[in-house]
Amino acid sequence: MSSLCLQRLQEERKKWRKDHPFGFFAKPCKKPDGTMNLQKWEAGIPGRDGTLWKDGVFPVTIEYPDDYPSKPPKVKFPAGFYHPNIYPSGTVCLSILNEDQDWRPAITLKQIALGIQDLLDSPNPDSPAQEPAWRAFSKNKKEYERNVIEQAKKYTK
Amino acid sequence: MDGLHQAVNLIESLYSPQPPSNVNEIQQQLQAVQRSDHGLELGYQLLSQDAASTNVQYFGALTLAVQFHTNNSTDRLLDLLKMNLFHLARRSQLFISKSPHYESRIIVIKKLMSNAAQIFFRMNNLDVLTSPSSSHEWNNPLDTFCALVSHSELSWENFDEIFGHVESQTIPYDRLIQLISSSQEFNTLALLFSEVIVEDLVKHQSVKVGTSRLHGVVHEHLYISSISIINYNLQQLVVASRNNSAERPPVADNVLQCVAAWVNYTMMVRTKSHGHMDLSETFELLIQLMCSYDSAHNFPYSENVVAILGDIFGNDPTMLNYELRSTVEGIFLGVQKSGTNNAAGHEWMLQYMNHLVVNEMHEELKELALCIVDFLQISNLDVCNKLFTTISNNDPHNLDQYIKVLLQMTNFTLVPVLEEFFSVRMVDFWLDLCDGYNNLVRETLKPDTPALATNLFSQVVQIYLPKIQLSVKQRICQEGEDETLVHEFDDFRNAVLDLIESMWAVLGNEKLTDILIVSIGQLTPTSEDELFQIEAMSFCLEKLLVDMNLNESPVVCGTLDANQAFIDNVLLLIQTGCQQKSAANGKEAQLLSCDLVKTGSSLMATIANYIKNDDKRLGTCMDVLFKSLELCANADATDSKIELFITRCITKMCEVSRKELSSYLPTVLAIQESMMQQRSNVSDYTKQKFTCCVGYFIQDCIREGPEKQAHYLAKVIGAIRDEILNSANNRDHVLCLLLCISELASALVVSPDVLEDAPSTQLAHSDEYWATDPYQLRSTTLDLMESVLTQYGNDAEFVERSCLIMGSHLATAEPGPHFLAYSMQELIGFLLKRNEACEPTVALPYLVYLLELVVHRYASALAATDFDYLFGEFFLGIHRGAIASDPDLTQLMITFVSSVLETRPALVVHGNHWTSFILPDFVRALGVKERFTIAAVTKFWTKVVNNKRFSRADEVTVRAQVCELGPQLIAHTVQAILHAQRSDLACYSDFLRALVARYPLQSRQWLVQALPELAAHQLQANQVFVEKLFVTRGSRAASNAVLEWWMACNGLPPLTGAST
Repeated sequence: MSSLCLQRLQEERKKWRKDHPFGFFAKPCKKPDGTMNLQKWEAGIPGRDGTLWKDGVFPVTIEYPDDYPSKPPKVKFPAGFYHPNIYPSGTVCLSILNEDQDWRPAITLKQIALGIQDLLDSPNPDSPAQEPAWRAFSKNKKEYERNVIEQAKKYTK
Repeated sequence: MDGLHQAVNLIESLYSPQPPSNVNEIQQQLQAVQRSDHGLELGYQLLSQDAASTNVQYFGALTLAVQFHTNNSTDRLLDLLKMNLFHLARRSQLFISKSPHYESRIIVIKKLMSNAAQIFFRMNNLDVLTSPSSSHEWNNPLDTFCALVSHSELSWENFDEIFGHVESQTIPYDRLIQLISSSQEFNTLALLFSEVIVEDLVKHQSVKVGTSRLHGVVHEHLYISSISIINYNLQQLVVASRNNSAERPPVADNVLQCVAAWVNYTMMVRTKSHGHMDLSETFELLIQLMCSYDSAHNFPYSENVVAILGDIFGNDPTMLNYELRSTVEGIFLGVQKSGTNNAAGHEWMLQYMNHLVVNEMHEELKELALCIVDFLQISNLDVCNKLFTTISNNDPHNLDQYIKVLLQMTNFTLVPVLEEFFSVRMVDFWLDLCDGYNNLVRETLKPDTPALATNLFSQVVQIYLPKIQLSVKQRICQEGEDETLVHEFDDFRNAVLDLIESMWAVLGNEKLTDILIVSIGQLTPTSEDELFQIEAMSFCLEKLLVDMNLNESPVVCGTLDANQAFIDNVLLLIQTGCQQKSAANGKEAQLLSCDLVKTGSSLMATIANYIKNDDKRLGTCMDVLFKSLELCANADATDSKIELFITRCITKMCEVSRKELSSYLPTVLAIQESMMQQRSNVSDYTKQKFTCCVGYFIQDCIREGPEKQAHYLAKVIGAIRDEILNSANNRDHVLCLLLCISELASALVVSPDVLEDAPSTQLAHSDEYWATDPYQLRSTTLDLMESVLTQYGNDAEFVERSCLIMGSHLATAEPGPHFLAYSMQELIGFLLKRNEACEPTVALPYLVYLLELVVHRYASALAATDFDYLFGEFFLGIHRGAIASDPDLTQLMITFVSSVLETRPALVVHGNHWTSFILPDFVRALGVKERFTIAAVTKFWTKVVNNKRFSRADEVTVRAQVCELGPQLIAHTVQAILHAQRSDLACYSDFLRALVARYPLQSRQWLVQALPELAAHQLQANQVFVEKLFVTRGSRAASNAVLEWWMACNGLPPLTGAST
């Protein structure tokens, strides 16, 4: 890991601990020897109140590449996570996480977490990443809503 | 506009408290003049009206700003500067002389200052400086301002001359001090101007680039004058506070605001490499001011300085040099890690804290906490080394004292979050210290370090446990504060959990897990407070145990065994929560109930593997859980949430302890049966999960033979059937009951472990028994589904559930005996019947899902003719039109064929539909536009050209067919690529890679033929494309070749640095 990457991640950790939106959590994972792995984080994104997602805190892993912040982190939900813009592997399809699109090195973990929370209830049907949720969202809202609510129960707050 | 008088009237109307109805029109009219060539003249005239109102004069200053922004000419800029400075100096002189309304005119002066700052920025912009018409340098607006304001004969007529004289004049320090000392107002304005310039500079930085020269000029000129003025003022404040510390001169606010602006600017510009702007003297004076107070406990500057220092420590702590940081350390902690103590400074700290606490100044206390903890975190690594390693040798007494202060600070006596923030912020400090300790190289530790660390972190645990108790949340609710504080408290609790988890690495089970267990077990709760103690410890314990395998932790299990009251106390959390969850007890009680049940049930589920080892204990737990569930009735959101927590706990307990709970089966059956009733209040989720629990118990009866399983299953299925038939018109209820059957079927799937352990004779007997099915469970279930589907056959959810039930036995890789192990004939019979009656867009996807499972499972028993029949029935029969017109159904069909190609290709490639329908139709499908269909069809063709499951005969057949179809295949693919979206190119690339690798000679020829016809105007690109494709054949780099060709054909510029 470059020193720039390390420095920035330490700063991100500090910033997050000092100020993060309510209900979210994010922390670096531990290596098997108990030391901290700053390049891999586990985080929880709560569904926004008043939405289908409100009952859950959805787990994600955030992996920072060696050349972060030049390159964006990779954010993944558990494989098979039900959402039109989440790939079957769990990888999040979001413009601010795409190097070729809206990623900027100044984007913070807080912005990413809030961006993902926003994505949960505002899927982008023009950028489908998985078939079942995209199809249900486009063609059968009732089924989509049922599956989302069911999934939220699995990750109850 | 006819004249100045009219303009003044319009401005007064615009700013009138009751604006006229045509206010927008007035605004537009005035804006037009502001932007016009007359704008400068208007601004001048308005600002020259000494008797005019503040509004009119402000509008004059605003007009100059508009002129600045609308006109980029360098000549005009100088005119503007002179006019602006003239009026700024005149207004300032009037302010200093305390002319009528002078106080209200400060807003006009501030606007003129801001205008001057903007002009200063532009004049020091490189573009303007290099312009041929530029002959002016303006380096120090503050000096110019002071010189102009102090000029006794200022007039517009002689202003050119005066300005020419002062423009580049540097005012010596003594003169500068003399000027600001000449009057309080002069001093105030000088500070204000300096503040306005650097504040605007920070804003300017965020939108502009290429400001490096400007920062250099500021550093060399403005910084020197400004810091001279600031430090002089601070010294005066220090002297004044020594004489009479309670009094705060009026200029103090201006000085501190100016300091804050400079600190902010310096922090920003430090990252831009413009030399070091040292503010050490300023900080020294600030620290002296911070610590000044009198015997009556007046702290005139502490709050402001703490805010400034807090800002620095939070963002750029190295702005304070080492000596200053040591001074601050002595003040905050009364002890320095490495040196002497600062008793006087620390006395201020104690007095100030006491003052804030006594006067309940919680916000100020929070500011102080933020400042101190941010400061502590600067040197966390240093603290860690000094405490735990041999790297530095410090006075042990000093370190003990240091630790003591840190612990005291954490153990602040007020209510966390609500009244104090020290303990909240100190979590971060301890977490860093703990992580630091865990990361230390073991060889560097002092001999007594492990004991020291254990002792220290044990104390931290003991401090935090009472602080995260729900009594605090209760207090927050009682205070009627907004929900933000409740959320902050929840965050605090979660942060403490992280800390506990980290401290486990230091304390281990012996000093942490076991102690929590013992502490929970030793309490005999008689009060609310003790219950909250149990909750807080359980909350932490759950975090420690969740990743622990209790079967491999005999010591922890031993501790649990030795503390019999432990389980009772945890159960008490659930019981109390359920008893107090009623809305009648108020929102606060509901909130706490939810937390109690969540903590209790989560911990129970986490230690389910331990609980099951003692029947009595297990029985007690289950009884409490069942009784608690009985108290839930979905009355409100809290009730539903609590029901969900308990249901999840019960499900986990039943899954883990299915064998130990076998005697509960009759009871659970009775409960489950009553839950199935339409009138039951429990949620659908609970009904399904409870049926799942019943399934776990019945599944465990496998050891006693399938007869017993069948007996119970018949009861469950019978009860559900009766309920479905009795309430057939209640869609949601019937659907829920179908979901219950689905849960039951899933729970009855035999796990691979059981399959491995069970004697083969037992499995064979079960298989045989279920094939005979004396209770006719299969037919009963099938009939039930048929009956339901007669009514709800076009409701997607019913079809989906029915297919899941039918395929429940097929979903696992190695299926064991199962009561719903339908034969192939039964499954196909069901599917064909449903297929005939279904609306394809609604039901076909689920039917095909089941069909895929059937073909996959019984592939070896099927022949190509069978496949032809099934394919014909499901895709070419009555639904052919619907499938052709719906890309989703087309994709469904393609995916189905691909899956068979992956399972047993011979079934497809030797069938009649392969050549008559599939190959020609799927070639055409290459041109579809819908993303998932593109993915499906390209995957199909990739499987056709490259399939490791092909037999020799399959390979020969398919190869001949591909060779024949090749030109069409390539033509359709290339055509599709040309019109594809960029994000879809990867699908086609994968197919082309496979084709080029497997059919190199033929595919080159097909491409050479097809490309000129499809992209005639791109001859060179076509040639490069073919060459690159074959150079990179089979590799991922082929994707780049496709992308480059696509870009060339679509008129897009080539990728820079693209591989060749």
